[in-house]
Parts: sequence; structure tokens; C-alpha cells
Amino acid sequence: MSSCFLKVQNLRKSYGGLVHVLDGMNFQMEPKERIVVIGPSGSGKSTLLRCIMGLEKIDDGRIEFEGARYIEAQANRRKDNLVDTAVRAKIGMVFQHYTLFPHLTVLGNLVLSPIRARGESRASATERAMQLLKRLGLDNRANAYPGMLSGGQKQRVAIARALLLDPKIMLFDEVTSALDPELVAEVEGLMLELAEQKMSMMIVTHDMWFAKRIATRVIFCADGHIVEDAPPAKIFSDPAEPRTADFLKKVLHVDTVS
Amino acid sequence: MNLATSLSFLYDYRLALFTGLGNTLYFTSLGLAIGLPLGFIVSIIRQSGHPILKAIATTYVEIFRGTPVLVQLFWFFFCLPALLGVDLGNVTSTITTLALYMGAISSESCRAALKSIGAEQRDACIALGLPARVSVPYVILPQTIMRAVPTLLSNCVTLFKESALVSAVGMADLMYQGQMIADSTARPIEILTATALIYFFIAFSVTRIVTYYEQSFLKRLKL
Repeated sequence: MSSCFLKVQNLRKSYGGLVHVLDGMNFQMEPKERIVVIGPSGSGKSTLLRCIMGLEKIDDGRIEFEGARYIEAQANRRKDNLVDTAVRAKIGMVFQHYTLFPHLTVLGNLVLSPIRARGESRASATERAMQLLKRLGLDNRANAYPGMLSGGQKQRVAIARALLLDPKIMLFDEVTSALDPELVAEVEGLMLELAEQKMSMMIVTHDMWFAKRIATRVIFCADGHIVEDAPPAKIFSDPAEPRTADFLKKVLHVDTVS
Repeated sequence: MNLATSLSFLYDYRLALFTGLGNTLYFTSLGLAIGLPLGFIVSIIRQSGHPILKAIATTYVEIFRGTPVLVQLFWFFFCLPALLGVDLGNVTSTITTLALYMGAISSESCRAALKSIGAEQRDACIALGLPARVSVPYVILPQTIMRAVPTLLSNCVTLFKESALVSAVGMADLMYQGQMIADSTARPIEILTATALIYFFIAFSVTRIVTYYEQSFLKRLKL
């Protein structure tokens, strides 16, 4: 068995057999890498992260995590393709629309899973949660409801909620896309802090400047394929593939104008 | 007409009116007690059930939403015994009708609330490793109930008002008593106005509660 950190093999997914969102994706990831996935919309970036989180049913392929079988396409399985649910607990994910639980306080959001799903004592979970919130400068919002927070605060709480479960890897799916421009920095700042702490991450973003700054590696996807996979310095200054160059020209042009 | 004599006339009939109100509240609350859980169960069946169960549930909801309550009351009272030989008696057939009607309209409210929670909250539950035994009682159910409460309370008010129709099958509710007194005394103005005010006072109070709940609670959570 290979002892690869994350290994995605021949991942395929289509909707109704017509639209191939993922059309045979292959890559491997080492611990502490920070992979930023870029590409035009519909290229399968978000779907890739959702598959790794085990939120999507795949048509073909397999995913291994830390050398263990995690997700495998199997015939006659209707729901998902999870081989090992325990592996999923090592993966954390943050979504575009925060997906905080609106009826629970910030603290309630953080401790729900540790207490109810992992059997941690309320005292211990609360203490860890408060420490984490303090580190993120959110401890004064612990008893606020998500509806009372700004978008940036909500997203930082969502990141804290995932971090409290001690994930081995964090998946960020366009986490700043729904934010007002002036709130983007606080969320990206937190992600850069996590990068300094050597958290393994996979990030889908449209923000090329941020991608350049945080990535150790950039994957450019189009039509469900990986077109180019290179370090940020290489891909942003001297892309090997014409499609990558074309895409970067378009988005960077738009960025400088707006 | 003189206000003092009108009021003393009403005062003489207070017991009859309050007995009627008691019966109205009795029918309404039994209708609610059976109808609300029924509506919740039906909404779940309609959202994620077996196709045949789903078809039955949908047919039930559409029939009861699409016919007048008065017709439903008459049907259970007159037609059911004639067709199937099942005579429920007027009290049981009345409560059955009100409960089924409440079940139908409240299942729609629950369904809308369940739908509004959406796939993203479910994704978050999976990403946080919450099994159904945690996500349903701690995430899905509380949000469904909170969102459904305003429309469910409005449904309660609707049922309370519609229950006046049970007087048509001889139930001695508030409407029935009011009508009887009006007929026997030939003074419909006082008595029917008083009846209307009693209905209004109760319905209006509940509507105020709904508004307060929406403004204070739901707004605060931005649900």
C-alpha cells in the first residue's frame, strides 16, 4: 500500500451521464502542501473538493487518504462511495455560504460535533472552542447568533468550527466569493495563518492574487481534466499550456480593470 | 337600541355563549392535537417517502386543500355512513374532519420549512461528521419547527375560525349557540356581534403572537 497523503485516481463524475464534471482526474498530494485549484466555472473544481469530502457520489475512480482506502466507486451503491467513514473525520471543509447553523450560537456551532458526535465532554469542548475563538479574536462573539455576525466573522467561525475537529487537511470551497470585498482580507488572513502553521489545504478560489500568495502548488482544471499542475511561480508567470495562459489572461485582465 | 339593555341582554346569555366557546376550543384543540403531528408526518412522507406512500399523501393533501371544509364535514357526517356503513357519530366525524383538514394545510407549511433548510445545511452536517441521530434532532428539526411556527400558528387561527362550520352538523359550538340565541330571542344584532367579537379577540391575539415571534425571534436569528 502506498503511503501517499492524498491520492485521487481516475475520478469521474457526470450528471445524468451527459455532463462530465470530472472526467478522469488524477493527482497526489503530500502533507503540508497547499494546492489551489483554479479554472473556469463548470470545470469541476468545487465538485472535486465535494468528492474528497464525500458529499458526492462518484461514477468511477478512487480516493486514498494516508494510505487507507477511503472512497471507491462501486456498482450497486446508490448513496455514496464511502469505504471508510472514519477517514472522513480527518477532513475538514468550509463552504462558500458559511453554512453555520443559524439557530445555534457561535459556541454552539463549534461544540455540537465534538460533544454529540465525538462524545467529548461539554466542559472540555467548550474550553477548546473558547481558546480557538480567542486566538481568532472572536471570543467576544461566542454567544452571538450567526445572523448577528458580519460575513467575514461568519466565515471565520465556520473555519474555527472545522478546525476544532482537528482535521488533517482543510478544504476551502470559494470561501471568499460571497463576501463583501472589504471583508475578504480577514478570511484570507486567517487562511495564511493556517498556512504558516503548515496545515495541509486544498483551496478553490477565483482570487488569483491570493492563489499566488498561499499556494505551494496550483492545479488548473478545465472540462473535468487537470490541464496543468505546477508551482505558483511557474504557472502565473510562464504557463506551459495555452489554455492556462488564455484563462489567466482573461481573469487577470478582469481583475485589474475592476 | 340602548347600550345598557343590550349589554344586560348579552350578560343573561353569557353562560350559553361561554359553553359554546368551550366547545369551539375543544374541537379546535383536538383538531390541532391530531392535525399538527399528522401534517408533519405527511410532509416528511411527501419529501422523502416511498413513491406509493407519497402518491397517497399528495392525494390526501390536495383533496383536503381543494374542497370546502363545509363539504368535508357533511361528507364525513352524511356520506361516510351511507357509503361504508361507518357511522362515526357527529362528534367523532367533526373532529376527524377538522384534524384531517388541519393535517393537510399544515403539511404544506412543514414541507416549505423542510425545503427551505436546503442541501447546504445537510452538507455541513456531513462535513462535520454528524450522523443522522445528531443532525436530525439538533440541526434539521429545530430549524424546521422555527421556520414553520408562524405559518402553523396562522393555520391554527384558520382552523379556529373554520370550526364555526361545525354548527352546520349540529355541534353546539360558539357559532351554533349564537345562532340559537339569535333565533329564539329575535335579537341577532347584539348576539352575532358579540359572537364575532369573541372569535376576533382570540384570533387577533394569536395573530399578534405570530407577529411578535417573527419580529423578535426570527429576525434576530435571520432565519
